[in-house]
Amino acid sequence: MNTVRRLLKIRTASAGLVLVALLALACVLVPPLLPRGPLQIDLHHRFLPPLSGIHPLGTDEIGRDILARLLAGARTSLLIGLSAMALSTVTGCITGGLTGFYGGWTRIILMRLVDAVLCFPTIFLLLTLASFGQPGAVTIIGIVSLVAWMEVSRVVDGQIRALRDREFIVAVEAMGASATHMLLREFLPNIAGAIVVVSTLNVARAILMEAYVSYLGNGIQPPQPSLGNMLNDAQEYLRPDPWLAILPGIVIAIAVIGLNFIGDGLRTALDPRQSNASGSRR
Amino acid sequence: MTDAFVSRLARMAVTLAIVSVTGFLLLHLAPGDPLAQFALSPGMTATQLGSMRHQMGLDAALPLQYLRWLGALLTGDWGRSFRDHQPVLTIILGHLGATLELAGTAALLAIWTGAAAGLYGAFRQGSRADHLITIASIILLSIPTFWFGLVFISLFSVRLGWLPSGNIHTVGAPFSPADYLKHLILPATVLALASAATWSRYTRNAVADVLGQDFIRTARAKGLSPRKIRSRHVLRNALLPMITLAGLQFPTLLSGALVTETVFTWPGIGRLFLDSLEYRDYPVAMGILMFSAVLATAGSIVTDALYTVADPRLRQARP
Repeated sequence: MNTVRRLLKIRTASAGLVLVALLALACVLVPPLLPRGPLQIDLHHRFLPPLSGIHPLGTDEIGRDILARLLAGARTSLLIGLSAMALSTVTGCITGGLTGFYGGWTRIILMRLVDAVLCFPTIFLLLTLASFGQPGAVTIIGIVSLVAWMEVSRVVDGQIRALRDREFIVAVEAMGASATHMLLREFLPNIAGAIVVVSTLNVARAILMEAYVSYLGNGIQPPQPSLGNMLNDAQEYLRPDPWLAILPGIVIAIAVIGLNFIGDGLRTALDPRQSNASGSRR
Repeated sequence: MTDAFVSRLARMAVTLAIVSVTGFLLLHLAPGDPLAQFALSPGMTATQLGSMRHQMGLDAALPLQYLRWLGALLTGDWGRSFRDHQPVLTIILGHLGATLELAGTAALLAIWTGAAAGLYGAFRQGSRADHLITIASIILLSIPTFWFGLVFISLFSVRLGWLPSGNIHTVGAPFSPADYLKHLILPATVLALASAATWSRYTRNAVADVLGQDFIRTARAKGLSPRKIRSRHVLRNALLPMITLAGLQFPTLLSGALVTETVFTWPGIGRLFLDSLEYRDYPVAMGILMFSAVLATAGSIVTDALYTVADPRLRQARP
């Protein structure tokens, strides 16, 4: 796999892969090893700093183990990110594929709609949509997907339109290929790269959006830990225990930085014109 | 010029219409009732609630409510808040100043530092400094702004006590520029961080693209000094994508400000929007949505106009 090899050559991308893999593994493998769960309250040991006895990262305002909560929150974030990505990618591919391929009025209407919705600042949109469902993981996946599919759709639409007039497409069409065949067997393999890039970056965006929405109180509700709502809780306790605010941010950073590095690396690795020399000509 | 302009305006009107309909539907169809806060008042009877509902026009059919709202808006009446009956436009304009000051300061900080960093990296492509700047930008973009807010508050307000942890002025103290600046620094810096990272990456890529062009090689071959090349050729050509970015960043200023305003309890539009959502204050919420939509579309028109100024190739040929 040429692309994978090229990807691994990019140091930031490899670092990103390592970060995300370690985080994912930690979320799955470490929690059973911890002495306390994310919801276990222990009022005798509140605000413990990191490296205190059985609590590797300390405890929070009601004595719950921070590491356990961080890993649970990270797991939630990763799952939300992946689900939202899957949903938005599928939706975006279908809509983008249809508008790019058929064009015409459907395309114009859809593009107008997307332009209009993108007029709203993202957070406004997320908050307005959040009031529709019960606050929780499913709602967040829904609203993040609703916001993210449009970009995928645009990318797919653009890519298809760019390839539409190429000789091999025209040839296949002249041979009588059906729309389904063309979309799935001709276009898709050629635009898969762009889709993968935008999807990876969408996972990162989804995790950030979940953090924002949960921080503002409209997402995952306490006591279930989420990296966003942990930061919300932490704000009251900045004086007694700043670690409550610092640690969740670091976990978010690890996940999102890793994914952004991977996405950027993929973009570079998939660009056929790019070579390593900085003086390369286009 | 007029033809293009008119069609532009028409498209803008269509976009704003879609925005207004979508926003209206989302707000009104979401569960929750603007009268819920009044229903809790002691002694409130069902009849009184019913007449209040009628007064607010909430018992009419949804399309009729929308048309009434739209009709009023088109005559300049943005409606009145459900909570305190103040004119919506007055409320918005009252809070707008604070947000503009915050977002404006942040934008200036972001553009200066971001563009400088981007230029630095572009002129030293492939070097360590360039890689470091790119990585730093990605890192800044990957961390939620409110985390920086919390960490800065923890460091500068709680730990060091240098700066206040929120609000726009010290309660009870008379207004002073120094006091205002002390309150402005932290939120503006936090808001500027992510934006600066975006500017840095964008500028770096735009300038790097220009530097790779043939005409730059020609200029060097002609013997132009690097300084002349930079000022005469590079910057002018990199200006176009930078103008695009400025136009795109404009609506983001408002949304980014929302979270920062929440962290630092800055009395701006963002907080106003949050409150209006929570209390289902539809007129205020719709007002803010339309306001930001108008700003966004106006921003794109201004951006396009700036394009024609910056790039003579885009100017319409005189017949």
